[in-house]
Amino acid sequence: MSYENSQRLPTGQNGLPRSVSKLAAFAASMPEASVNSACGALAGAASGIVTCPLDVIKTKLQAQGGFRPRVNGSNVARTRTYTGLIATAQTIWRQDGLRGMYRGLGPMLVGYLPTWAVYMSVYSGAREYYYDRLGQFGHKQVSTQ
Amino acid sequence: MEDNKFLAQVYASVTAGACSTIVTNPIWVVKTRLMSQVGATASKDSRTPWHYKSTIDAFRTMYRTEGLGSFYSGLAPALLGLTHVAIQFPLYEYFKLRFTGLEMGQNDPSNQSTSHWLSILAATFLSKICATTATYPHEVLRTRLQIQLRQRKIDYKIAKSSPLGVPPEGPRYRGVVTMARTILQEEGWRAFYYGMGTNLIRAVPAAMTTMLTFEALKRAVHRLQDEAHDQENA
Repeated sequence: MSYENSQRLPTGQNGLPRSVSKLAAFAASMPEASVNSACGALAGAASGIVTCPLDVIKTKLQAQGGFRPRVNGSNVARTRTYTGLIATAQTIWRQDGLRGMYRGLGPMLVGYLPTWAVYMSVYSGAREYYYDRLGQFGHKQVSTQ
Repeated sequence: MEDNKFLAQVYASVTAGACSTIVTNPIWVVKTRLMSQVGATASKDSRTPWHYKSTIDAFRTMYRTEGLGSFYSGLAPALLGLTHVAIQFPLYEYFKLRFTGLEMGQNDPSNQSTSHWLSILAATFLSKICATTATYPHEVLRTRLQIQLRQRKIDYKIAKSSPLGVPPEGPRYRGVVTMARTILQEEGWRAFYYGMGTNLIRAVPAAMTTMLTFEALKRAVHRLQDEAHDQENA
């Protein structure tokens, strides 16, 4: 299935400088599936950086009960290290600083990159496939994918 | 016609979600383990029984000590999460089409207005909130089932010596439907949405960042492609 450049709307001059022409030629040679993969991967990286601290807080809140030492099978420590969103952020900051906030960023980026690379390219391809299967939508001249 | 289109988008979302879940589940398991481990300055109570030096160390150690299966723990609930994308993306398509006349991944390079980006943010905001609201109750049910198992274990082992006394017999919830009914009777419908605020604070900015970056990059690529075609035609 080839759907290169099919999402592009025709335009006239768009005023890009000449120096980008090599990059432009490269972009034009990329199949749409690769474009979706690459854009998806970078989108995943961006959202990973934005949400890593929030994810760390959420994971700590969810996981904290699981590690308490037990005596005779019952929880001894009844105090919670982490309570609310802000208090948890403060605790992490005090204990581990900025590094603590971005703990797990590596696997998070390693995770978000393929998640969105796979998602975006499969979604676009599958959408095209199911559009064809489930009925003709009279492919619009300019903006069909 | 439009119904079919919506259905096609639902199918596409499920297909894409299943593919990306199977590819990335091992990474999410490692992520959760690394995030829940804490530094040496933490109190004994909150220290984890493992300590990985790095992401690669985590992969190696888990593979060596626990085997390949450990990377696919939690796959079933992760696949349940497909209902989430099956709502989010078709709705995003719907809102984006209404606001801009374009589908996801499509753009009009000649349109320079900021309202285009505001439309994308609004479409993401609305679709993400709808998807979360619709699928959040199942997360609450899942959590209740998970903690119930642990409580039962404690109940029957230590109940007699516990100062709290012997708990009522049997598990509180039997089966998902009965459980949902019991929660509704005992606590009201709001109980299905406990913790959703915290969840939204994380999920909505994440989705907005993802979609805005994706659409902006696609637009940049399409502009470059236009540039190349203009040069060819010149």
